[in-house]
Amino acid sequence: MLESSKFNFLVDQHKNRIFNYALYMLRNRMDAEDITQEVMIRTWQNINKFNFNAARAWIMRTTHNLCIDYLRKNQLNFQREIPIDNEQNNYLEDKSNEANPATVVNKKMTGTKIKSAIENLPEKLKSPFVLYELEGFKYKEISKILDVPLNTVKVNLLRARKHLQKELKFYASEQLK
Amino acid sequence: MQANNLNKLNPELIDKIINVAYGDASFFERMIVNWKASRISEVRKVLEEYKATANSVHDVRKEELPEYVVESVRRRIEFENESENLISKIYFALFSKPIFSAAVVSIIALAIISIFIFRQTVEIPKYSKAEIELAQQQLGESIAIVNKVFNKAEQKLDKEILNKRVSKQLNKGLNLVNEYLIGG
Repeated sequence: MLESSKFNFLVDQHKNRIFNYALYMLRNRMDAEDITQEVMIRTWQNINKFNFNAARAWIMRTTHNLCIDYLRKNQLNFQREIPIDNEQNNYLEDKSNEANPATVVNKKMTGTKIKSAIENLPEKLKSPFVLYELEGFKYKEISKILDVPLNTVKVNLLRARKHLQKELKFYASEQLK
Repeated sequence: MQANNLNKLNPELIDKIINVAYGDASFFERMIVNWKASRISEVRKVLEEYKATANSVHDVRKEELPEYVVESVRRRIEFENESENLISKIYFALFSKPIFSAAVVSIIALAIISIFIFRQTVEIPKYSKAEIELAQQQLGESIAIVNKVFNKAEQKLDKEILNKRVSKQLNKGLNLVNEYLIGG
């Protein structure tokens, strides 16, 4: 009974987090669902073995490892098979000066394009970026999840931000043509 | 010259700008970047671009895991638990109490002992090759004697009993019938 309660609590807390991370890593909804299922089953199998307070890091580390194993096994290319979100089409409006280049970039940005740009990040940069910016993990937690030094997390995060900026600027310049 | 130096965006400054735009810069870094952005247009431009991107990233909508995924996991866990429970029920029924486990062990021990005892009491007789050959020879002689007896009986039946006694009486009877029918 207690195990079931613990499991249900962990599932409710982390299911979307696991799913979103797997979605960005694998870029395929069905694969992300499979990975999410597998993570939940492993959580159940290890429900008595790990510290409840460290469950968050354990769950995300398991998710990350399974995603990496899956990618290496299937040798996925960077073509997106099923779009993550066909319906979202958010425009970010900015009412500042039209001549301002930042405004031009801002106007042309959509939710789907942001997601696409994040997906296209190299794997080593994408992991810390998604965990920090989208899932709200701290540097130390990310270091444990990815099993890399703290400085590596900070460096890769910075590189990811620069890479993303280049991607989106390129997109914006294409839109202006 | 000094203005040109100020306008140059060195990599270190860009890193600070990025940290400020994404909201994880220190107080000191924020002060420097904001001061420079207020004086240098290029710094301001880069800062605004990165801020726009950061805001867009933080506004990205998160996907919801479909409920059927969670349900299928729960069903699988329940199924595994039920299978385990059945095995553990049997196990605990047999071995949970000392008296039951002692009874099971005793039964198994008795069965093993009985098998050994039974094997020892049942002696299969063994014969030598000469004894087997003698027995075969005697069997053959016995069959030959029986065969001879049957042959003799057959001959007696055919030649003497059927021919002489049975057929003679039959002929006598048939003659009487003829005489009666024709003569009368």
